[in-house]
Formats: sequence, structure tokens, C-alpha cells
Amino acid sequence: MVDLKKNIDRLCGIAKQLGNQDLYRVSLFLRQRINQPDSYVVFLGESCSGKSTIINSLIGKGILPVSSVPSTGTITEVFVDENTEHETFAVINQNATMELLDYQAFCELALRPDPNVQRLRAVLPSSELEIAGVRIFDTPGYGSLIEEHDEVLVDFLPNCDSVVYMVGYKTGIQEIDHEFLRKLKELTRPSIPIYLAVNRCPAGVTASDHRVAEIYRAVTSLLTDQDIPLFMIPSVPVQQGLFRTPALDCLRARIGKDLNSHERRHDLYLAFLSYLNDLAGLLRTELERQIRNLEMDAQDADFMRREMEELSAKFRHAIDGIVRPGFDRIRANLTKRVSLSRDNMEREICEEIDRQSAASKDEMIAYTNTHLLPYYARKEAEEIQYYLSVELDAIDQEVDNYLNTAVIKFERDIQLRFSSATLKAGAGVAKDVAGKFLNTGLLKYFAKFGGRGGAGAGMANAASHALKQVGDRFGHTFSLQTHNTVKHVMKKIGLTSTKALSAAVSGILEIATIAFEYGTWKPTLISKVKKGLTAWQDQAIDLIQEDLDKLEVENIDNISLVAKTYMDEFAVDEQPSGDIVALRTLLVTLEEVEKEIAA
Amino acid sequence: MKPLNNYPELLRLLEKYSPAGQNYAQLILEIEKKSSTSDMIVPILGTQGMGKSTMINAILGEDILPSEADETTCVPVEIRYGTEPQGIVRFRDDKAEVYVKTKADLSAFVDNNFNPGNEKQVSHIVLYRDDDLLKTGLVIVDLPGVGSLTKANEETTNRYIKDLCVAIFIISTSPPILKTEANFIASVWRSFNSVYFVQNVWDDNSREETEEGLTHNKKVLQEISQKINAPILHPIIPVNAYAAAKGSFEKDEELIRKSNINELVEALNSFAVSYRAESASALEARVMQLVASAGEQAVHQIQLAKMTSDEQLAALEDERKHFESVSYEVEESVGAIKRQLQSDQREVQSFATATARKYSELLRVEIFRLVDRGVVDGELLSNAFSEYQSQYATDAMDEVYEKLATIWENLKSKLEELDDLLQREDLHSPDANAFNKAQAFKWEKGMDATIKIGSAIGSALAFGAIGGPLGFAAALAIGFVGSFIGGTSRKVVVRARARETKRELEPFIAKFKSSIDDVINDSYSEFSEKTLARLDSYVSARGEELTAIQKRITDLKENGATISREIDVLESERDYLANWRPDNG
Repeated sequence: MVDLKKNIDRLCGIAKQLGNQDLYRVSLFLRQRINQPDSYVVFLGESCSGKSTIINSLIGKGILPVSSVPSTGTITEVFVDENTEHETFAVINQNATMELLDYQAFCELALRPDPNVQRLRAVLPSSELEIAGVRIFDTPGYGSLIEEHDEVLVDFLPNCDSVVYMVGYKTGIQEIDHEFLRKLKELTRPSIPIYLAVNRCPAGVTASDHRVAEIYRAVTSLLTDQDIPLFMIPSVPVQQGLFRTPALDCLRARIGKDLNSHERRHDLYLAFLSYLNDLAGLLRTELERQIRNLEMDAQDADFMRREMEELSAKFRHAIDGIVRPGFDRIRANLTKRVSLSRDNMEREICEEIDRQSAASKDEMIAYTNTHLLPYYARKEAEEIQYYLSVELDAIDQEVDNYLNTAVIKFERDIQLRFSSATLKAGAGVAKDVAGKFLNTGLLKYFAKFGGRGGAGAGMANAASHALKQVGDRFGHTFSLQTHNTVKHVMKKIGLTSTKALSAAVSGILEIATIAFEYGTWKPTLISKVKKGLTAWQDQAIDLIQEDLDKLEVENIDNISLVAKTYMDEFAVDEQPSGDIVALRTLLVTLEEVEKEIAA
Repeated sequence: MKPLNNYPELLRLLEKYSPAGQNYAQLILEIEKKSSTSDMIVPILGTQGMGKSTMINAILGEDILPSEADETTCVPVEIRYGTEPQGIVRFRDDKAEVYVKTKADLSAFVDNNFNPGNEKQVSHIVLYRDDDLLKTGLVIVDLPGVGSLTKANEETTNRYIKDLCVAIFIISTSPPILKTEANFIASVWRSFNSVYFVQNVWDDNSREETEEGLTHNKKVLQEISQKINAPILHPIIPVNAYAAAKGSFEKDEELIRKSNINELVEALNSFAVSYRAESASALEARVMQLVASAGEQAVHQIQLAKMTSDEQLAALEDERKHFESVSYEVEESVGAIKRQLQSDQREVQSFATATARKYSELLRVEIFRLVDRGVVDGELLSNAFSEYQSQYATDAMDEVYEKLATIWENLKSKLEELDDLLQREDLHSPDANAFNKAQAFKWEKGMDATIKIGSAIGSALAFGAIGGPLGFAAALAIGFVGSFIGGTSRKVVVRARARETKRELEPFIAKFKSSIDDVINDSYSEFSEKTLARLDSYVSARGEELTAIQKRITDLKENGATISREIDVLESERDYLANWRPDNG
């Protein structure tokens, strides 16, 4: 085992001496994470399934407001900080600013959602859930979660280390649970533990109880391929916002056991080790650049500047000449593609309704609602996703080819020009720069979670972020990053359609409650379906447009970041200063660290 | 090159200088026969409703196939060259053939409405037509759509698949290629050397729509071809099949021209011509390779003939030792491959179990949810059942492809290592080289004649030869799983009580589960058995070769030199082989 703490300290020292502020900040950030790793436990479930009460009971403090009406309006984070003496409360706003709150204000904000609020935070001096670095997330029932918080959801679900999925014994698994569970698996990292907690079970109920078995079966089959531990929480009186029962002790013990498991600790170790490697690589690049700068003469420097100017122009072209027009084309075609899907659904569903005899009204309304609409909506959403992914991949490919050609030319020019071995060696790494950036989990991690002054940092934990990257660590093209982004957005479009679907379904539900003449229910149902589908179509287009806009920005940001990495890597200082001997000594120290962490 | 029978002396020498237990002359004659007589089977593929039958009518410029049956073609129809137009229906059992004349006659057998589920047990239908395109030897086949395979036509369909050389895939303009189609295309493409994509344009598609469709479809096909490493991607040919068919029916040349059908016919024509030419030049290349190999044998024999008995013995011993040591390595490597196949088999089995479980559970959840909401009517329920079923079958197949592709890549690299080993052996020893070459030819016999000749193992890796564990047939078979159960579950009687309905649905869910499980295991087993058979036959041939070398050593020890001392003859035959060229006059 490599001593992580010792080596990050040494790397921090090198970063400081190099005088590069960015790298030094990244080093400090990583040091803090290595010293205090986090674990995320997220509670999910429909409104009123009792999540807040269970969290209160698990930590042994009635800190989260509970009541019999839907009560949690926003995501709330709870964790222990041994250095605080009192409970402290805070709100984190959408713009990443943080304000301290008193308990009353905290409770008010918890109950009444505010569009400016990203999440709430409660910090405790101690808890009964004794797991180092654990952060618990309470979420609103996902009906409203999907409406108001899907951004946050999509951002943090991939980071969670375990999920407690809550279902009320009486409520069971409903329509909305189906749609949500289907997505949950896509959004979380594979292999994280998911616990099923059936809440408010009547006394004496066991796992063989018909209802429990049905819930269990539905959850396990939708979450497939996974052993899901079942906890039956009995109905017990709540006192001061919490209750005690042996079932809770089991849940608490199980969460602790899984988070402290050898596998999880090993994952964490590997993740940090790979970050250390990334950091060492970044430091080496900067060190070599500084040495190179001191060795270069004025003509060489001029030549380098011209080359960089040319390369930079090509990066700009990739953005303005390929990405932007490409997205414009997709946006222009989207409406047509979605309405094609809508027409298809309308035809299939209405034909089906027409085929039925007039006597099957009730059954047909249920059938339309439970089968036809969700089935076709899902199917068409998949097709739209596929259509978009083909188009997006084509842009990706084009950017990829264009930039790779540009970088290869850049590299060759430098190779031809310089005779000195050091300078050549510098050029030799040119083509790796993009790969290095894109595969350096650390930089991405930092850019996303560390760069925003700490408020955003709480949303990600190091281990899971790195683990997501493991698959593409060794690729060397530009496309991987964009590709992952595409996948990410595709998942969201899946959610989007789920969201839009509710518009269609609610139209139908309405008519189920009204009694209709024997002869007229068909045209009424058909007109409701059409209305619902129009709502679906409009909403889907809007939501996908939004996603596309974001994806475009993200793509442009990525290319700009890669460009910046090049510019930094080959930057020629106006008046290079520094002590070449000292730099070479640093290089020796760095090599020692590299050797140690490579072991 | 003239037919090989025109070169009796060459054939004699090829036989004489074949390695022990082999006959080069016979081998090359068999290959010649196959490459000149085989049909060029061209299936027309596409998901339902793409206008396959219309497209065939358009290609032939004749209203032959009932195009309204496009959605429901349930038996394969092959259209081949014949001076007299006629149609023959063949049945699965020994039932006598039936002759068909009109389109209506044909409908009675091909249209699912008149022959539901192929209850008439038709194996296939042959139509003879006097058409210039067919005269080239092309046989156009209308295959039943995915999901319409039945026991009666499964065998024929599989037979076609084995002999296919090029496929025509019909894709649509708007919507462009769908995800579900893309998966089918990928599986088909893996099984062919060459695929032509034809985009069917309808009258109501605007020029702009057609262009957009083409651009998007091109992107889709590029992505698929990269994913499966397909060798060539021909440009998509846009055709208005309906206009072409109408044009030829009404003798409207302008309409035919505008439909662009001629581009497709041209493409097929030039394919046929170049296929024959390629086959001929591939045959010539094979002949030259065997001649070279026989020449090397002659040189080798001359060397031996010039040696004393003791020297010969030493040379043979040397050869035996080397051959034996490589054999040892080969067995090691084959052993490793076999172990890999076995462990893959176990992996595939548990993967199949897990996949089958997962998707049958999902199917159950969906269908029970429906029952719980009060839908217990037989027909609605069975509609939903078959819809979910085909959806989950498709999802399952996506996973299966990914899984098996990884397994195949892994195995392929092991086979390549073995191949490298043999290539090195070829460089070292002329005898081993001759032996391996003959083995390579032996394996090639069943393959497409235009595939470049490989080494003893390498030919097994050629694109299309095995093409990975999961090909076209499995794609058809899974469609089969997806649809046949739905038809039967209609029989579930209306039950008022949901629980009763659920209980009655269980056997169908179980059937779905076992079908998924079977398809995965069967397709892997078939592939694994094929690979094993090849490896085993190679290893045992090496054993025989070793025995043969051993025997020559024993003979030499007991009877002295038996190799012909007629150096003059050997040398003149060597020169004959070295200078032999096919005359093209």
C-alpha cells in the first residue's frame, strides 16, 4: 500500500515551489479529500413514505421537520463535524453561495421550497450513525423531485455510495415508482448497495407477507441483477420526530458495514491513487515546461508563439465552424423528429381504441393509461434518443478528426524545427496533451466540484467520481469526454420524456372519474389522448431543447478547456525566470514520488 | 484461365508433390467446381412495412410478388433464372410440389392472412423468370420478416443464410433508421461480405426530406460499420420502388428513370460480374499458391535425393524434431483456447440465466401491473404481452451482442497467437509449410470463394467465415421468441379475478424466460462447437502428419533410401512447376 498522505504532502510541496497557483490549489484540494473522504447515503421514495422520520431516527436526533402532510420540499444534507459544538444550519443557494440559518428558518425553508435554494445543510456534533465522513441526503418525494430538482438529482445520484429506497407498506409500488426505479439504475454507479425499507408495516408482518413480497418483487425486478436487502420498519409511535425499533438498528448496522467494507475502502484507495498519479503527471508537465522555457532562444520562442496562435485558431474553428452549426442543425430538425414520434403514437393508440368494443370502456381507459401511453412514450423516447445520439456522435467524430489533424501538424512542425533533445521531447508529448487532460480524472473532478469555492464541493465525493472515469482512462481522443456527456444527456432525455408523459397521463385520468355515455367514451378518450400527446410533444421538445443547449455549452467548454491545456502546456514566458538547477532538483523529487506511487 | 482439366500434366504434378495424405489436384478441382457453379444468393431484407416485395417487383420490372403481403410474408420466395416463367411451391415434408401461376395463387402461400403461421408447411417457393439480371446467376430471395420464422421454413432460411454473398437492405426515409432496425442491421452485416443499402422513397417524401433521410441514414450506417468493423460501406441508393413498379407496369420510361431503380439494377449487375471475376482470380491465386507449394516440395525432394542415406535420415530426424516441438506448442495453445472456450461457456451460461431472469421479471412486473389496474381481458392483455415481450427480447439481444462481442474479441486474439506460431513454422520448414497450406485449403472449402486465402488458422478468422458467435440466424431466432408466445396467450380466457389471470400468465412468462436462455446458449454452443471442430481436426491432422514423418524415418532405416534418385526427372518437373503460368487464351 502506498502512503497516500505522505505523497500528497510531497506533491503539495512541489506545487508550491513551482509557483503555479492553479496546480497548487488542485493539490490542496486533493490533500483535503484524502484526509477526509466522504460517503453519501441518499434516501429516496415517494412523498409521505417517511424518509425524514427514518433519518431522524437513524441519527438519533429529531432534527428534520416532519409532519403528516408532504413535508420535505428540498434536498437536505446532514453530516457530523466533530469540531462543532452545536448543531449548525445553512442554506446553499443555486448560485453556490452559502448562508447560515437559525433552526426556525431552516425548518421553514425545509418545508417550503424556494427556487433559489439548491439544498439545505445541517451539521451535527455527533450522531448515532457512527461512520466517518458520512453525509445523509433527505430528498423530497420524487414526484416533486423530478419536477423541481432533476438537475441536482442527475448531478448527485451518480455520486452516492448507497441508496435507501423507502416504500410505504400501504401505498406499495405505484406508477411513478415504476418510472423512477427504471431510471434510478441508470443514474447510480453500478454495484452500489440499494436497501429497500418498507415503512409502517403492521405488527407481525414478515417478508412472506403478500404485500411485502409484491413490493420486494417489483423493486428487485426493476433494479435487476442485484441482491437487495429488505428492511421492514414497523409502525411505532413517533416521539420528538423520531422512534426506536430493532429494525432500524439493523439498517444502521448494515449501512455502516457496507460503507466500511474492505471493497469500498479499496475502491477509495485506488481512486485516490489514480488522482495522485494524475497530479504527478500535471506537475511534471509544468516542471518540464519551465525548464524548456529557460533553454529556448528568442527565435525559438517566436516560432513557438506563431505555432500556438495557429493551433488556437483551429480550436476556435472547431467551436464556431463545427460544434455550433452542428447543434443548430439538430435543433432545427428536432421538432420534426418529435412530431413524427407523436404522430406514430397517436396512430397506434387511436387505432387500438377504435378496435375495441364499446363495452370495454373501463378496461380500455386503464389499458390506455397503464399500457399504451407509457409503452409508446418510452419506445418513441428511445428512438428520439437514438436519433439524437447518432447526430451528436457525428459532430463528435468531426471535431475529433479535425482537432487530431491539427494537433498532429503542430507536433510535426515542432519536431522539424527543434534540434535539442529537450525541446523535441516537449513536442513529442503534444498529441498526448488532449488525452492527458481528458483522462485526468482529477482535473475534471476539480473543475466540476472543487473550483466553485467549496460550496459545490460537497456534492461530489472523490471515490465515485474517479470510478466513473476508470473505463476511459486510457483512451486518447477527444471524443470520449463528449461521448460521456452525450450519454449523460441521453439519460436525462429519458427522464425528460418520463416527465412529459405525466402531462399525457393526467388528461386520461381525468376522464376515468367521469361517467360517460355508452356511445361516446371512445371519441372522448381519443380526444383526451390527442390532447395529452400534444402536451407530451410540446414539453418534450422544450425539455430536449434545453438539454441540447446545455450540451452545446458543455461541449464548447470542453474544447476550450482542452485548448487551454495546450496553451498552458506550451506557453512561452515573456521573460523566463527561475533557477534551472532548483527546477532539476524538484524533478528528482518528483521522480521519487512517481516511482513510489507507481508501485 | 481455362478450366483445370485442360492442364493434365499440372494436375499430375500437383498430385505427385502433395504432402503425405493430401491431394492438391483433387483439392483444387473441388474449389474450382464450387466457385463456378454456386448460386449468388441475394436476400432482400428489411423490417416490416419497408416495401420489400415492391422493391423486388421493381428490380424485376414485373408485378410478381403480392406487395400487399409485404407485412406478412411468411415463406421464403426465391426468384431465379429460367427461360420459361413458372412457379413451384415446395413443402417441408414429402408432399408433392404445387405449381403456381397467378399472383393470387402465390398469395395463398406467402400471405400470412391465407397461410397463418405457415400452417401449410411450405419450405420455400421458387419462381423462374427470364430476366437479364438473373441470367448472371443472381438469385433474389424474399425472406420472411423477423419474427415470421416457423419450423417449416427455418431450415430453408438457414440454408440461404449459409450461401449468401450479398444482401440488399431496405431502409426508410422518414423516420430514418430506427434503433431497433440498427441492431438488426448490425447482426446481418456481420454475416455478409457485402451489403447494399437501398432507401425506399415514397411519393409523399419531399426532395428535402429524402436528402435529410439520406444524410442521417449515412451517419447511422457509418457508426454501425465502425462498430462491427465492416470492410466496405457502399453509398446508399435511394429508390422510389412504388414509382418503379408502376412505371414498368404502365411502360412509362420517364417514371422508371426518375425512380432511380436503374442504379440498383446496375449495382447488382456489376456486383454479379465482379463477383464472378473475383472468384476466377481467387481461384487462379489459389492454383498459383498450390503450384508454388508443389514446387517447393520438388526442390526439397531434390535436396533429399542428393543426400546419402545417413544424411537423409539426419534431415528427416531434424524435421521430425522440429515438427514435434511445434506440435507441442500448438497443443498447448489449442488447450488454452479450449479452456477459454469452456470458461466462456460457463460465463455465457450464467449470463444467459441472469439475462433471462432479468427480462422475464421485467415482463412479469409490466404485465401484472396491467392486470392490477383491471385489464384482465384476454385480447388486450395478450396484445400488451406480446408488445412487452418483443421489447424485452430486443433489449436482451442488445446485451447479448455486447457480451458475446467481448468474448469473441478475446478468443480471437488467442487464435491469432496460434496463427502467428504457425506462420513462423511455415517460414522455417518447407514440409510444415506444405502441410499448413493444405490445411488452410481444406477449411476454406465451405467458404465464400472471394475471401482471401489465409493460413491454417487465419482463414478461420476471415470476416464472415465465423464472424463472431452471434450472427444473422440468432437475430431471426430472437424475433421468433418475441412473437410466437403472444399468439398463444390469446387463449387465456377472460377472468374476472386478477389473481387467476396472473396464475395463468406464469407459464407464458416461464416460456419467454427459457427461450431467451436457450437462444443465448444455443448460439454460443454452435459457435464454440464449430471452433472446436476446426481446432480438433487441425490437431489430429498434425498427429497424422507426425506419424507419416515417423513412418518415412522407419522406412528409411529398414529399406534404405526410397526417395527417387531420378534427379533429372525431379529437376525438370521442378522447372515445369516454377515456370507454369495459366494461359488466358
